[in-house]
Amino acid sequence: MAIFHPVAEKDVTQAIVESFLTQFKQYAESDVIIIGGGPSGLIAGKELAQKNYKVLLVERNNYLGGGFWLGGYLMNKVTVRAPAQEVLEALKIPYEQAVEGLFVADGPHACSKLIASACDAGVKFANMTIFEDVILREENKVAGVVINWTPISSLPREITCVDPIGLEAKIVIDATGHDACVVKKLEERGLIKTPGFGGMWVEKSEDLVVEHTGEVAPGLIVCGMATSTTYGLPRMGPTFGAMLLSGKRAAEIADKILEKEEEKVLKE
Amino acid sequence: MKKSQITVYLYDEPKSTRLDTKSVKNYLEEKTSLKVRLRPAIFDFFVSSRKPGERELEKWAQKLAQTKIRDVSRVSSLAPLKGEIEYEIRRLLDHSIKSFGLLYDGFPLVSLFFNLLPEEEQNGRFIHIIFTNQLIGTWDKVSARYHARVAVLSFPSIISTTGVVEAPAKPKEYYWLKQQVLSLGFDPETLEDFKKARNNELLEHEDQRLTEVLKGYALQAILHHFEDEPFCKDQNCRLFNAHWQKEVVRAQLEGEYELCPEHEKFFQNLKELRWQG
Repeated sequence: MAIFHPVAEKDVTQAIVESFLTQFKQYAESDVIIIGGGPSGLIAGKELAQKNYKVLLVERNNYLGGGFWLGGYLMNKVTVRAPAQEVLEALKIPYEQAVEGLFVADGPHACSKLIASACDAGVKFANMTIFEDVILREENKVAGVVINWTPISSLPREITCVDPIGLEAKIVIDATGHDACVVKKLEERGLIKTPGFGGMWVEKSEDLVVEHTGEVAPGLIVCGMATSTTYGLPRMGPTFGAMLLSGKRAAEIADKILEKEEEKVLKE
Repeated sequence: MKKSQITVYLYDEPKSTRLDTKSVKNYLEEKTSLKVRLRPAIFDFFVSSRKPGERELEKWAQKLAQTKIRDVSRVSSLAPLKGEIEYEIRRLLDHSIKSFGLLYDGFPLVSLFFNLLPEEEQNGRFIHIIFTNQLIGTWDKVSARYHARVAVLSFPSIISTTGVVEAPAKPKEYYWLKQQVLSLGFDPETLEDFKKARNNELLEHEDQRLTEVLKGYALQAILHHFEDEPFCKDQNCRLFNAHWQKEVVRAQLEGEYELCPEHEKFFQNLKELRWQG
């Protein structure tokens, strides 16, 4: 006797297509679109989805988690400095204290729990999807993103003349790491001028990354290492506390902006 | 001008828990007999005395953000981003933000601080010494890059409580080790171990010896007010212009004497009202 219930190939195909398209259609307009599925983007998404916002996270790779699977030098242990262990605790990620104020966790365990928490909170994902451009509205407010399939970017142009599509959102969060792709796109359009990496006078700049997390242009919030690129902050070592706290802060700021917008709509 | 007419104002830096400005004040009074007065942090002083509105505060935050060095290898005049201005506003109003790491251009910062001083005190009868936890740098034409500084001696003088740790060079072995940590993935703790082992020639952030070290820099600021050359060539003198941490520790904490004979005499004269400026 067969273990699995018999289904036709077409049923499998239809299930995938229908489920994907239903979700894709729903998320053609979201409250928040997060570009980048590393630790800062995931935690920002989780926090916002927990507040019942409609959140879509766009990731260019097939896998989520960014660099959070590994610590330095391809070693799969991730570290955070206090007080970021509170985030690990909230996500029920086991960790140990390495030295006073420094905590270490298994990369695969920490990363998979973080991804699961974002999924559980209700974040939806568009992986294998590249960010191509921003959608701008009145007064150059960022109001969405233009995306395409990731493989398009690595195929010869003569067979990839595939037009991208646009997704709308009230807020876009740039969580694309050192690349700061969304901010750079605004820079290409002459709407912003970033300083790039600045003086490296200290080894650690985690506080600065968290403190600079915020709205960089109307409708666009920058978090994680993209903050460092945007503001020319010193580079950081392989510790993730700032990514987690910066993501949380980005979510708080997005929440405030969305609340204000809602109040404005209600008044009108 | 008579010496009795000169007043020194020391501006606190509450973000630095190891800086005891009262102790610096007592030291300066003892060494110079000048009137030394304490004031709150420069921006706190400005806000409490001039009570700027939200817009004016934003204007100063913008100017402050403008002095940030974007690239140590070139002079930039980029307009600050919205987030940078907001960061400076938060820094101005919230003492709990103690982070540092950004480098600010020393001379534009001097001119910014000058404009925060009361107009009647913007003259030679006053010496203003401002402590800050910001890192400060100045452009060096010869090497065509910015260099971090402990102090920018001018009117007012600025002394950086973080610069005293970051600006003077650490032992060469420290940088080799740091390179190994950054590029080869060595354990970052080796850097901490190195610092602990060489504690006698290195200063740390929030070092217990910070106040004692900064007394010497405050004295340099006073000398700068009276003399063209505020530095001494004698490595044992507190007025020595140290470029290495080891030299800072020696000049400020472990010198054979506090001041060289020439500067001892200068301050003795100043103390005994024999200075004729």
